[in-house]
Amino acid sequence: MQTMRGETVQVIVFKLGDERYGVDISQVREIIRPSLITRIPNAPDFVEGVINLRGQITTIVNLRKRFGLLPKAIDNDTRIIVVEYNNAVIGMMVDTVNEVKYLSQKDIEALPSIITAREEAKFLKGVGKLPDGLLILIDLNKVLNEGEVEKIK
Amino acid sequence: MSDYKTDFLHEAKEFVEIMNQCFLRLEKGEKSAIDEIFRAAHTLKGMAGFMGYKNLENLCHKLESVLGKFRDREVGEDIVDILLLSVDKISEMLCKIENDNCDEVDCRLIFEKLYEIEEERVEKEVENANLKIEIKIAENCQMMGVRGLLILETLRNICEIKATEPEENKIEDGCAFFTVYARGNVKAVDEALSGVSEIEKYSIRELNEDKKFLEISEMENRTELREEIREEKRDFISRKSEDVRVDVRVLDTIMNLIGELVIIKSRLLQIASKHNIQELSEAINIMDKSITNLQDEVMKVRMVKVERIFNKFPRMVRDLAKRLGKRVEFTMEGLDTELDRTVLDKMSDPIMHLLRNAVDHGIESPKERIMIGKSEIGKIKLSARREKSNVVIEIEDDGKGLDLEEIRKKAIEKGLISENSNLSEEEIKMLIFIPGFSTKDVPTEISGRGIGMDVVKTTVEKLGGSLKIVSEKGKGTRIKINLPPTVAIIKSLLVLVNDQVYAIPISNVVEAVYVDENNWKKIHGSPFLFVRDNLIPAFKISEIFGCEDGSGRKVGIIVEKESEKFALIVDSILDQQEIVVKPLTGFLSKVKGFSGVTILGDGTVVPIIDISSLLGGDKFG
Repeated sequence: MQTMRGETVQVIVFKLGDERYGVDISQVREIIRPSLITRIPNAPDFVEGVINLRGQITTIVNLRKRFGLLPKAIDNDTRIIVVEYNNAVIGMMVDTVNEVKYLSQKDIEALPSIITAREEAKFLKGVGKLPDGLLILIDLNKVLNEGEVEKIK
Repeated sequence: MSDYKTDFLHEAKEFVEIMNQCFLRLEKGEKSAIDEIFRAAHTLKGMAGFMGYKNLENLCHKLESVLGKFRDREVGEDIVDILLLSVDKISEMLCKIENDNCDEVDCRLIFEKLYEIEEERVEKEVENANLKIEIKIAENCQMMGVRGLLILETLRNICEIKATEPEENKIEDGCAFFTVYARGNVKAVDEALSGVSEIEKYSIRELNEDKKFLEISEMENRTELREEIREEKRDFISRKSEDVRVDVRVLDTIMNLIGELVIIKSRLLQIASKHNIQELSEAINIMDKSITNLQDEVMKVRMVKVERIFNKFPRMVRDLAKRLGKRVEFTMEGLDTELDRTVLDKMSDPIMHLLRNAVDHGIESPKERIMIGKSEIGKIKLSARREKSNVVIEIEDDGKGLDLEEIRKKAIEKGLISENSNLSEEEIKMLIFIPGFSTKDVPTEISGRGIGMDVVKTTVEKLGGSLKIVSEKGKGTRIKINLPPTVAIIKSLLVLVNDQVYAIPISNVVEAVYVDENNWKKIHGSPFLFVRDNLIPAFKISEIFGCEDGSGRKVGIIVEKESEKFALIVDSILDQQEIVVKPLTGFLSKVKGFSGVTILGDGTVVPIIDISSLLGGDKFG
């Protein structure tokens, strides 16, 4: 247990609005700038479309829309975090990517179920405590799971 | 039959492989291997018996009984040698079966050897004997017993005979093969024996403390045999390479890679023409040729004969007809027709459904048939053939045909269409493909639940094919399925809608017309396109996709879906191109209206419009 507590995870810190979020670096393949996105009509509204990532068709999810935040136009800071999930490659569009942080397990606090049960908080895995503030860790399984999408509908 | 033979050979070769490996493990002292060899030999024996290869069956049987003796004993190197030799013999037989369809291979020697080990004659320790002499007298020898005794006499002169196998008096009775254990000089024995006539072959082994032995003539003989087998094995291996089993997923990966190449090629072409580089264009043209060849070859590899799935149908039809008390003569044609493996595998169930329907709904009972003056035996024909670039599969029966009135009544009853809806004959026929439709009042075990037919339609359409029913009441039904030979790379029309490019598969497109005031009609609020005196329902792509309408003159793409025509209104046609279909995954897999996307030469991603799901759902509403 002691060693578990001592373990650290590397997280990529990105921003949506004023809030800071983190995603485990082991799940991230790369971070790219937005390129030409092809819209797919009739797709769920949080799907921006698809891009050609070196020959691989990559679905782009607008994380703002996914989290129910107000959409924001693409600007110079906009980044796409490409993750591999269930053998598919998915890009998550975020406002900006700030940095990579080390987080030790003891600084990660699970969210109480009273919070995660709420609709707007169900994508969250926990909260990371950093010297300069708090960091929300997102749960890719929930963000990118199709079954979850069905439930929303 | 030939099919069974191929399968048999495939499996038999696998068993030979298993036996080879296991014997080697056995040699290393792994006792469990013997059980595996046992199983392999036993199965092979059964298979050979079934196929009628007597020699092979016998050999396997022998091998099996020999192995039985070694279940709980040490197996020496020399025994494994002999056993391996018999495995070699088996592969020799398989080779022969493959080439000449018979298993007649000379295996007397190997039988003798096996017999020897079985009778525990090998390595029998005889006190004070340092030589083991095996002698085989020529088959045509007149007085075998006398010859045998003479040989023994000769040996007695030069060495001390300790024991013989079998006993001396048995040799006297005439025995073509015997073993002598003696004490003496190898060379002398060799010299003496080589002088005796009517000895077919002999071998002399020195029995040392460490059991190392020396073989003279037999050794040569055996090497020769080995050499022979090895040679045969060599071309057996080379033949085998003509028939390699490949995981279909590997082919898919190769196909994907070729798809990438095609994309990169068109990208390079664009660059070359943009910068006007002559040399580059030439190089690309050469590359293009290679890529096209490569693509064709891989396509060919993916092609399999329809026989592969058709072969299981005769049995199915026969069993079904029997159960339903009907008499059916089932014929198949065009078994050599080739189809992409993925397409063929997906068509297996639909064809089965259609055949079941033909037997169950189509063909009347023998009584009925005689009453209406038809032959008692109903006819069902399944055929495949190439038509232009497509493959056509047809299922035809001479049964009662579709009763359009009945279908109409049923459809109204089930609320699938409204009472006053005015459907053409074509449309009524297509009703049988709607989910939940069945004209049989009581569903039978086989068909009539109204599932199946809609599966047939959706599968065919998913594969980019089409379906047509020709039927006459009382005379029979013919269902014609038109399939593209392959699905991975398709020809398509690139169209522009509100500055976004979309691809429409050419197989769906009938023609394209400009839209103007003369042919654009609105009837009761719904738009139609008036083409050559035909009113074709029109759909604006921009409306379906909920985007802005582009400006300028519009183009109507006339597409066909289930033998009905629709017009899709787009801004303009850009190009006609071969595209590689890439499926949409994850969140987008359930999006209606698209069968996938493709990447164009310039790297842009273009959605491929899927006509049936784009317009589906509201057709009979």
